[in-house]
Amino acid sequence: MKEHFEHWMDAYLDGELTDIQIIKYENHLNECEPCQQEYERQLMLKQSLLKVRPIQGTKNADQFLSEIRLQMRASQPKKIGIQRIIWYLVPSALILFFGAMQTYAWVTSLIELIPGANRIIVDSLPFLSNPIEINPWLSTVVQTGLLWNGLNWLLDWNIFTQIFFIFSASILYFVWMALWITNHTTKSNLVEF
Amino acid sequence: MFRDETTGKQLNEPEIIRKAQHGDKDAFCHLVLAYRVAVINIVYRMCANVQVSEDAAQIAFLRVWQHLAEYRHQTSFRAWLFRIAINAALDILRREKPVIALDQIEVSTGNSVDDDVVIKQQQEMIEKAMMKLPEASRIVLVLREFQQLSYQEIADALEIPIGTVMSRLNYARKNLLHALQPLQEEI
Repeated sequence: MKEHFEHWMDAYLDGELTDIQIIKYENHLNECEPCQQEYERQLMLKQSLLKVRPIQGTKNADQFLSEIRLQMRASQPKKIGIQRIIWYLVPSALILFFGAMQTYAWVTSLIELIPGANRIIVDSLPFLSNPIEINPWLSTVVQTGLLWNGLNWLLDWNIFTQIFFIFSASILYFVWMALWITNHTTKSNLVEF
Repeated sequence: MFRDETTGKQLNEPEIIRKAQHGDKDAFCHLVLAYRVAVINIVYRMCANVQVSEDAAQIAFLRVWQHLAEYRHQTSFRAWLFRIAINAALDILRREKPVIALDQIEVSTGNSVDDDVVIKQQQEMIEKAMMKLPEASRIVLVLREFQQLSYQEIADALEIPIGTVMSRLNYARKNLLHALQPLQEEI
């Protein structure tokens, strides 16, 4: 703490100190003459500022309000902003994506348990199988593309990719929540000085 | 106090704000009336021009109406409103740049013209001393002394750290004390 608690004076006058800080400061004030003098001066300044009366404006309240009402008709309030939706959209999308991939993994692993089921599904889904049968190069292109983008793990959703995904999604989710909290709550109380 | 038309119940400020956020114009007008003088005075301390202050206050309230959905109830409504008012004032001041004539600062004592000449002179002196302060320090002082905002609310309104609020307030008070020394000796 600085000598004379110089910065505590304002906070004390403005009622911004904690109970403990008030006791500390008042103890100091009782013993320190320069601080007492400064305190008296600050009190007088506060009293002087009380003499400044608020202006009322040239328009009376009704006129002021009616002018605003007129302009309010022309300007409608904006609905909930896209920014607020995004705050909820990102974590929801992460959870949904994980859910979708997990379901895909369960379904494919169940199918693989049934002998010959793969062939039956491929044959019964002409929309899926035909493009690849007609254009054999398509499969190679898609797989290369996914490999190049680092997304090839999506086709092989196993325990390792699950762990990797949960780990990265958790980090993303917590970072997002931390950002959300800092953005939606007021800052901490008076800093120590 | 604002009453709900359907239930007849008296509403507190957060409830009025919620109603206004749902498009209730009467609830919003209640907020305008509650904060009209405060907003006009904040802007007035920035430009010392009543006309500009009223215009800026009206623009600020319209912006508040348009963006009310974005207001989050965890933060102080006053701080949010004053931030919009200050930004509206700065926009107008940048556009119009009114000349601050310290000799023509309008003073309202609330008394009759013949009364309290001394008080009026003192008030003029204080107002002139305030107008000589740097804008950043002056606005912090105004929010603290005239609107009784907490340091946190000032920090939120001006989007600055609390430490900066404290240093600006300290600077403003020191300068004001120096400028008003003759007045304090009189008292």
